[in-house]
Amino acid sequence: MKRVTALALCALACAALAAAQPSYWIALNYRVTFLGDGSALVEALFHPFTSDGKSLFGDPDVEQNMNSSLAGLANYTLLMFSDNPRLLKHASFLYEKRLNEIVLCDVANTGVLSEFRGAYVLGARVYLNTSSYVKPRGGSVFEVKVRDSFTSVDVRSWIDVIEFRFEGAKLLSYRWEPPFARGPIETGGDYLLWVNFNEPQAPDFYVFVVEAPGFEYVGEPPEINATLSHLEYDGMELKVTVTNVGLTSGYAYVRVIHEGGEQARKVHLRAGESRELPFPEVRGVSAEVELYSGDALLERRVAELAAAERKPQPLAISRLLPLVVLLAAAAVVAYYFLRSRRREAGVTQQEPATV
Amino acid sequence: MKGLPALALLLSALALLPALAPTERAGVVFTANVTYTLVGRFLLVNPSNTTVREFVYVPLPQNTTFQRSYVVSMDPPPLRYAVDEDGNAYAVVQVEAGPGARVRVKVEYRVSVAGYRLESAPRAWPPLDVVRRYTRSSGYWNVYNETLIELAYRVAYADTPYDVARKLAEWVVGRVRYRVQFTRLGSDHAVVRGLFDYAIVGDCVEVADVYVTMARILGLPARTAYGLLLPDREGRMWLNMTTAVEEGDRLIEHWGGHIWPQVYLAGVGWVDVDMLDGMRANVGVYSERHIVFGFEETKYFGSALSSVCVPSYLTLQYAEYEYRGESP
Repeated sequence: MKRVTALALCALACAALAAAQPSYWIALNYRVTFLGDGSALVEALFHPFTSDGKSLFGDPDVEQNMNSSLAGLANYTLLMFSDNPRLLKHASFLYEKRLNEIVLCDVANTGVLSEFRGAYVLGARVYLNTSSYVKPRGGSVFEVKVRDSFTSVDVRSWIDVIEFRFEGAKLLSYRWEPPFARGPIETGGDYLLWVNFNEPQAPDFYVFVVEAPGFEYVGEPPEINATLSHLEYDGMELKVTVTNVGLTSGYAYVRVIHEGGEQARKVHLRAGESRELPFPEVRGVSAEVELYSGDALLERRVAELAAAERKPQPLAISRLLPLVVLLAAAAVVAYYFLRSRRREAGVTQQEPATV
Repeated sequence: MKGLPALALLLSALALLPALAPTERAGVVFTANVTYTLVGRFLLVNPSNTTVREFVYVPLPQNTTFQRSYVVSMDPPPLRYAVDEDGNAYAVVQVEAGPGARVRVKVEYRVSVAGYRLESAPRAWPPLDVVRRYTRSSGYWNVYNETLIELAYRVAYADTPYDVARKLAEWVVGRVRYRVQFTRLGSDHAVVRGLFDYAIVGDCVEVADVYVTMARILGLPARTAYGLLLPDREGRMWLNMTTAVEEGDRLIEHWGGHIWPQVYLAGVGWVDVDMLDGMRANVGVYSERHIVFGFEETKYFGSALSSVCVPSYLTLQYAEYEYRGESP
């Protein structure tokens, strides 16, 4: 259930002045079907109502308001599978008004479900191989987290009813987070149904291990095609020049792994643009440099300390001091040793001189 | 000799007690230490014609390197403590209200805060997983905005993370056109082109959003911290929701809700950059008048705890905090 206000909720600084605005509520029912090709069909069913439980389905003002906020509602679907909707691959959303759908919701937190007839339905196909909430488990098996994006955005909102089906994909195991939330009220080999009467009961995450024969993990797609065009390492600082050799603008990451640590920089490059990135405090005779865009490793090279710079470097005075003291002490000891030897030799030599 | 085992036992027991003072951190010097007693009162109203039994979400002061927080009391008592996706702790209380009824929620916290100053910052950049996690794009921090990309590289590109943080803070603080804003604009809409230069229009939320976005564009991990900025060590602040909009900028004369950026410096950790505290480029200069209630790190639409007290069916009508600080 989601409370809709005319003003967006702002941060603590402004303390949710949305409270002064007129509001209505939306019952939220979802159907998610995991398919054998590693995608998921997601259908969101919305039914608006007043705080007294009176249906607002067909109300022209509410309908207009919902039509104008379709992009936002679509974002909620994408945020179920990703931190960043921009990077999640999906088909176009389809929006329709269905008169014969039933949407369920506990209107006033009384523990009783109300049935609302009619729904605004927003559907799309989401490709899970680019989802940041998917962890490949090897082969065609993966773990997918489905987030209650409504709770994530506004802590008092939640998905009232959500059903999961597995068609061509096989459910291997499931759990939910946090553990004190309620589990599914109906379970079958290829079907799970959660009915959430209030937010504390509703899971924040629904987690499944799924086997889908057509699944092939891609991860976050690369934004640009770039190359490590120059590396310069002087034993203290590594300068990495990155060039965007593709036709699009976007970000790349440069990772430097060196003796005792690693560093990384993110850089934005327009098509054809180059940028030099200095990495200070790099140690060792060589460093490994990796270039990524999205999750794709574009290039890996080793930066060697230049041959001229590998020659023994002049040592700092402070580091030489103990050596100088040691040498001086050794010299003094050697001097007295030689002198005493010479004295002994002198005595033996002098004896004949007495002749 | 008999006394030694007893002393050792006592010292071990003391070591097990929770630390009252915030813990130390490399590269920073503590400048002050204050323990506040903070009492919050929230008035909720049921605008509907039906009796509602509902959950109210109360953000809590957090535990950080520079802050230690304790819940002294909560009325009604908490049903549950929970943690959001960004790791922020909050309490859930349950209330019941008849049609038109008013409900009060009262909380009392004890919060020890350390002010600090960053003395030295390592020059190295953070590791890849930190950079990836804290430089992502989000609804309010659009790192693909071409204007902000061009601006960020022009005004704050530097060889070390600290220099990026400092140059960016200097640029941002010089361009703030402060105006209390009742909706969150996000960095896309907070930077406007003036006749000669760009300006950041809005309040602390917009300033923080612009800073975090531009830092992330430059590859510097950044997030926001939110909570209160107290004007003194003792006093009261309040917010009347029914008059707040018409009050406009005068709101800040009696309300200290605040949000500010933080940047991640390898070897030091998260460092505060509250430019509106004295209107200076305060990179790692943090006063003990801040109380942190949470962080916005990874979520696309920022914090889900959008207010000092978040009811579901009821309406928050009035909020106040009374605070009294003592130095050890």
